[in-house]
Amino acid sequence: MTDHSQSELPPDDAALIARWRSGDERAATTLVGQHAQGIARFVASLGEREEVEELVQDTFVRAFGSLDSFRGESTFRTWLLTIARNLVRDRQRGRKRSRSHVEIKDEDIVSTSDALEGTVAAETEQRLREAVETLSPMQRAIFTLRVTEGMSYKEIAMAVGSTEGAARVHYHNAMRVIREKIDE
Amino acid sequence: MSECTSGAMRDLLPELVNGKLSTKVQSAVESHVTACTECAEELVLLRSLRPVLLSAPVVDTQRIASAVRAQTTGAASRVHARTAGTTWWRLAIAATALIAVSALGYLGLAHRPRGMREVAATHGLPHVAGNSSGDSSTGSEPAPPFTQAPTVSPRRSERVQTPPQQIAVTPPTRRPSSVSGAGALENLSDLSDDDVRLLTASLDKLSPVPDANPAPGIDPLGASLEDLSGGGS
Repeated sequence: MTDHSQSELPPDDAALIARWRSGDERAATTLVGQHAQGIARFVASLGEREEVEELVQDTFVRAFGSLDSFRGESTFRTWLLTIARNLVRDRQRGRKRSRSHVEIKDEDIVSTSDALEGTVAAETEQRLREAVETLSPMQRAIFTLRVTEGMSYKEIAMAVGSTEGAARVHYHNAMRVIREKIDE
Repeated sequence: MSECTSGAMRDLLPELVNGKLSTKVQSAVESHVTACTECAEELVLLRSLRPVLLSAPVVDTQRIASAVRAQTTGAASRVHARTAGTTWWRLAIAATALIAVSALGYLGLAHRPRGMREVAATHGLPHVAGNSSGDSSTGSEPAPPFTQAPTVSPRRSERVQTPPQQIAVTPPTRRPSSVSGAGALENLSDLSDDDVRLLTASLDKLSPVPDANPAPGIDPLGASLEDLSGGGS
């Protein structure tokens, strides 16, 4: 019903990976440019705010270092998300519970007033941010992937290391929580 | 707020927001949204949330790309080398296997005549190749029952299709008979009528009384008589 394929690489990604495998290191730059921002959002949604860029960088370094093991059974984006999730988990375990709580800081936010103007008031925008803050890291990660990427539950489950059904439940629970928050 | 009656349509709202639906499905979802207040409100909420979620954080992709390239320099070459090495070894293994199969095939062809003789002996077929003289002194090989039978080695397909007993061979020809010599007396039953008459005539010419002075070298009674006479004197 949807257009996205579960098992095929987007043509651009496949071509770029082939170029990189043949020795063209410039292809890596293009791949980073295509996926870095999405990986950063995902990392942030999992609760990492201070070292997002470093985590994104580590994700790509690890990915290109083990590209031999990538069989194309998922999209390259999903594979990167899986690596990023593992890195975040390892880092969070290393820090125990000393990590800083997730907060979306104002200086990190690109001005979206233009996009929201005429549709949602600035007050509503702030409430939306606060509502997202109340989600658990898992809910936030799944909700972010679903809303910003349009990923299927199956792809999301692969990325976050969960099941398709659990991903669906997390998404709907997140939607319910956000609705309740903005209706208060 | 009206309750949504189509969970499937509602489930596709994130894909609608991200433009991931086909034209046909998109039209169906949009039609549903116009009639469903709950989905319409959720669609507005999703369209409001998306820019908020997309906005943070912002990372420097150029700096990340430079760092990644610096840390993975040579990795692409190593992957390429591994791939090329794998291809080379596969070709080498394939070539070795081909040579081995060819050698085995050659050896099989070189030993084929011996195998054919064994097959012929097993089926009692005449096989006179290299043995047309009828010499039976070749060890364990049975003496050929026929003389000068053609060296017939039916091709594999013929052997498979025709039972050994029905293989057409040259009709057996009798060994040229001889009225003299021990060989002729060994197989009297094989003699033709002419041979028998010739033999009888030859016998008739012999004297029924032993010669008193046998020719040298002829000792019809064997050495025992000579021993007796010699022993008596």
